Amino acid sequence: MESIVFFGKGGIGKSTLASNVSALLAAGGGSVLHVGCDPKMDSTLALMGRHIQPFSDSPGPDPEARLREFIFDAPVKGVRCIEVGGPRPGLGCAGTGIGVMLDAVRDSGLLEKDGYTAAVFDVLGDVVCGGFAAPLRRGFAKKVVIVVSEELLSLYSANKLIKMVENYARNGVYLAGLAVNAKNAAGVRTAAEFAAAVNTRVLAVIPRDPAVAAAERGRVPAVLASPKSPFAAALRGLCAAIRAARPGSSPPRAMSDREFSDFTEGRPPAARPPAPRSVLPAGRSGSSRGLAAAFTRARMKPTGLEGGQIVCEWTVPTSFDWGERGQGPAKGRTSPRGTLKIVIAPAAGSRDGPIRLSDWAVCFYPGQAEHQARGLGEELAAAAAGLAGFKYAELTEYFGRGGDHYAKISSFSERGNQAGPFGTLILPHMRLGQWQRFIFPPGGADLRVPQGAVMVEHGDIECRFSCCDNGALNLFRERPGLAGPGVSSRCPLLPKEEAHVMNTDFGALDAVRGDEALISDSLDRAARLAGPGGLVEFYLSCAPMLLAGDTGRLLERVKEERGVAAVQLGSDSAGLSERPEEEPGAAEPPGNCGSILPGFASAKAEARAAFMARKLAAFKGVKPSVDVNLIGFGDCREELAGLLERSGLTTASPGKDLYASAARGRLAVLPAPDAALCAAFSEAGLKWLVPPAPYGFAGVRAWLDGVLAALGRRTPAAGPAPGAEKERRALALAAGRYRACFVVSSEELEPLAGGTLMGGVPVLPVVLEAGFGADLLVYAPDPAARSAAAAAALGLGRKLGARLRTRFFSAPAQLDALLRRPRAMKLVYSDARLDPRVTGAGRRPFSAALFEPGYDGALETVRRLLELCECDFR
Amino acid sequence: MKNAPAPEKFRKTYDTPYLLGVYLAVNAVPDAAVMVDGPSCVITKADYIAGNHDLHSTLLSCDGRHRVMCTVTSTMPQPPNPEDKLSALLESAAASGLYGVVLLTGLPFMRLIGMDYEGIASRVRSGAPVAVVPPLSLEGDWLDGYAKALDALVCALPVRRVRKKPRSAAIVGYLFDRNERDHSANLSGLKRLLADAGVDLLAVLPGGGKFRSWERAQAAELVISMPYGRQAAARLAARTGARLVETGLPVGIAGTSAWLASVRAAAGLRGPLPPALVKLEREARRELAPAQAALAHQNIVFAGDPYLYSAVRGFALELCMRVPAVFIDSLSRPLSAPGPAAKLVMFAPEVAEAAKALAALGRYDRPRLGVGNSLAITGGLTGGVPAVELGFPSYAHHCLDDEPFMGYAGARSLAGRLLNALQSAGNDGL
Repeated sequence: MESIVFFGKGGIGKSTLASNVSALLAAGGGSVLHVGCDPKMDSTLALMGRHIQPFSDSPGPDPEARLREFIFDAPVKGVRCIEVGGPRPGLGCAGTGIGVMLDAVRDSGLLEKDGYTAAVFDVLGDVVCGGFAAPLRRGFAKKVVIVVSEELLSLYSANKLIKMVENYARNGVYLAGLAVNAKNAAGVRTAAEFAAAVNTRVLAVIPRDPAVAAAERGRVPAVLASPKSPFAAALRGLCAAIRAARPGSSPPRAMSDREFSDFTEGRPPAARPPAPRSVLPAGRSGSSRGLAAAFTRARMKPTGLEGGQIVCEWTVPTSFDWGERGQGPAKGRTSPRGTLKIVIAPAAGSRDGPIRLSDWAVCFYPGQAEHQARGLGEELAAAAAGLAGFKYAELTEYFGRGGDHYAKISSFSERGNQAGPFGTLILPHMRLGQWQRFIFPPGGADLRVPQGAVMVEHGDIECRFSCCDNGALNLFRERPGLAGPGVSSRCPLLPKEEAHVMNTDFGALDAVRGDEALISDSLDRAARLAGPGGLVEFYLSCAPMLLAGDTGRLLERVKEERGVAAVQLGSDSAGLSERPEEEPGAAEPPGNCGSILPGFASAKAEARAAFMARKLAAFKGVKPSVDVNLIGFGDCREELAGLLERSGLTTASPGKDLYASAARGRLAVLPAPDAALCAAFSEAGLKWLVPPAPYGFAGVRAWLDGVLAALGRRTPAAGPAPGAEKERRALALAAGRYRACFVVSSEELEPLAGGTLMGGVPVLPVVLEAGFGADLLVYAPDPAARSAAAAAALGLGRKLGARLRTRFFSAPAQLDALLRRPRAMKLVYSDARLDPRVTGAGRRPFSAALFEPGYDGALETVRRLLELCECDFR
Repeated sequence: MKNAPAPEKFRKTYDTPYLLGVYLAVNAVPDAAVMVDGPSCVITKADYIAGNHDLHSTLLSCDGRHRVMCTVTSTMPQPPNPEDKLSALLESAAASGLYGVVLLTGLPFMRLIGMDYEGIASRVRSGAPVAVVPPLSLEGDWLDGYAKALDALVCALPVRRVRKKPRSAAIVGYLFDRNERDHSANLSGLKRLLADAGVDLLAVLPGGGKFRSWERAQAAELVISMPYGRQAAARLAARTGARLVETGLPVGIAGTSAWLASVRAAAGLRGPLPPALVKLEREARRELAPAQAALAHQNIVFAGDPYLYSAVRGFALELCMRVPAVFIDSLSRPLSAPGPAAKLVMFAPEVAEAAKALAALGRYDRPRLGVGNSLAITGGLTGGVPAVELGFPSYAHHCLDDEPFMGYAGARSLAGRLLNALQSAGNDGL
């Protein structure tokens, strides 16, 4: 079956040529499906004599039935037509519509089932996005015809289209050639020169013929309306040339931007390197070996990707005489001989001063351009020449081969340098392949929906189901600390939607036609829920973000019409999940909202702080009636309120209105700093405090002392209940027989002294207070890391006043061996449920989830730990 | 504020996304991995299965070697060479030796970008096979995701000429949603029943075995297509030249017998069920009789997938029960269920509307018993009546010991669960 796709700059005559080619193919006795892939929906006009209803008008299941509904018999015998259609101009994503329809064509097997002998795809103008390349995917078009004129922009566009065809050659697609629709002989010459420059051929020259305009007015193909016209003759030639086209032995090759510039300015082309071999050489393993050898010979070692370009270490040849050049060693280098960073990039996107060798170029890393002047450029060119036979895709693939591919994902993420507070990656669940990690930071403790605020996540159903509580690894577990559930567990619920959080359920139709109505409706509902003076937070997730709709205008409208504050907060709200009703004031779904793209967290905090400050201002002048208002303590509130009352303080009972409750308290006590809430309290002149976490006997005293001091009370803090101290000593005696172990990286050592790593629970200090011995197993992959870690461990021990036995490891087997001894080391901290690394070594995993606040909680915690020591998880 | 109107709440729909279906298929093949083109939120999504629905899932690993991987591609900034990066990652994963098969799919926004996944996957020619699950989250649901993933896995099977084993069969399209002993008991039970029926069950796709074990299916003379993977079954049959028979789920006694009969007929075996099976059927009926007495004339509200609904409805009729209300957690699909149509059928309903519709049922249609998945029960779709948790997800019911729900043994077990749920309500004075 012939399968032809027409591309070319807008307005150049693609639809005219494509529809006439369809008519000619059918006239030869074929059955042709003419597919209009242009949202203007004018491709089939000449064949149908009228506009037809586009496929995009009818979403829904059963794509084959829908396809058949929208395929129309043309008045031209043998031709059937379908138009993809598209959104209202300026909205939606027409490319998506093309992809959706073509997938339906392929999946239904309609072309084969219905016995078509040819399919002709007429695709909108230029290279726009992947959606417009959909006909080049596997199973669709084979032959590409690019329509050009002598105009510069037409040729520029054609050059880019050739690049696209090069890319899709893997699918068996090839460029049949150019159809030239030029004004005059000079234009034809220009087009022919362009064809030669890109190593393709002119299939036909289409003359300007009044018969075409006349036929278009009559909405019939010109080849049928005026079969003897010059246009019809040229089209017959074009049709024959397309039919005869076969993939060439020497494929077309797009010019680089510089080459194209030379071409248009009439400069002679610079010597071009040989075209790289077509797609991939036979035998992948052979290719890989060849590449490995070539990289070695070039003294290059790929180390990572940045901006989609390969970064390599290049070892400067020892023969290079730095001194003779009179320049001395390069800046920042300690030795004149050594390695430099270089960048291998696609030719079109390469940086200044590149050395082009294939469809890629090599240059020095930014900031190292002085090496070029030093004469190293020639050395680099000579070294890289050995790789000239490989295409860029092959070089990238080589980088992907071998080694630990989990580590590769991190390298490829280009986020490797975005370290969190302790040198960890920002996203805890991104620890792909990091086998040495045992402590997973809890997700999104910073995320809460303040009372009176409403969160709208503009996203699809996948966003709604992006995370849940209580998974195998607790990747988004609730904070184990003060607001957490202790050892109780809860199943996930239908995610993300509750009174104050919604997902807009963005779907395919919204993508194709535009999502303005969906956003508008969702914002209106959110604004009604928030009420006048409320806050609407609008999160734009990945798919709608691509549509680049004018969300700012819609937010402005809802602000004006509904009297709410509204703020748009970036791209990702992964981590929102429904939680049951908690204390008023804070629905706190765990997550990493605002943590992916820098800046959103602060924007969110600012908006919320301003909103909450306004709400608190309404209670200005209200006389405080209680001492302490505990905010955000979840299940622990009752225990802590009891402690405060035993210390002579009154506490606010949980009220429905956070702001009213806050205004009644002399002091707001929070479990952890909250950028928005703390700022709002400060702004409203309310006193707030985040005392040390109340875990362990010492911790509880410090917490109470902190609260009492903040209120200026000199009364002593409440002590443990009678008999509790005696029980503590007895438990400590039992605990003294056991040791607890912490597997950490050197960056995690210092935070172990507090609770920052473990959701606010100071696990190590409490374990030590309970009487357990403590071991540290520290990941130290090299001697330098080991020495730094040893010093940090010593510092940690001094700070805690304890002797911490520290050992080091750098490989899984070493860690496993260390976990197996000594026998007294019964407990190993791990946030993974029943961590097999721990149980496999015959030890018992424990985590911050076991720890309870308060004096009684401290005793209960030790009891739990001792029970674990006496359990057998093997 | 006493008379203030109740606050408007957002819609909460009873549905499940496409990618979770894909993950279920990957979860069922212990050496399969899926590379999802998108940011890291795709990894935490696996928590809906690993450790929650499936206590034995290996989708996620505490040492970070997850079988669900992502490319960490974001919308902004768009990478200049997304295809090259993806190719390299696939090469690396396929060549790692860790997996028997690697699936590739993407988040919805990558579909909008128009990535040529099939072209990219086709370039990986060494190591484990790489197959594409089309990124259809915007159009499809979890059942589509599961079915497409099974189809991709069948596509990835190496084509080998295998001599057909006489009177052998492979089941394709079984919903092996977890590695617990409900499914292992189902499958071992079906294998025994088929053996008694004269058919040798060579493979179940998926049945918890490694990808290599799928190759055994190529020797089957008959492909038994179950509803969760029709396309995969048809593809396997077409590729191997096996006969294809489309069946429902063998749930209930009559349902099991009918299923066995249709398989026997498709395998070319004539006559009634062999005496061994008749005996089993008779025994099952006898053991079910006391439960039937208690369950008869009770109404069930079903909430779950459409294929399980058809099977459960058949069993309910057998027990003299009715299913007047049905909530399906997927996009609209034709329902093929025996008996009179349910009075209330809603696909992917808005939860509050569904609950309201349920409450509005007439006295003789109100359910006394629910059969549904966790999301339905916790979401209030079973109307607060005692419920048997069945299907995906089942967060509050795990099977540490054999607990089939298919075959004759499954009929006994499921009837027992229904009975116990009903009786427990009685104990509460309901």
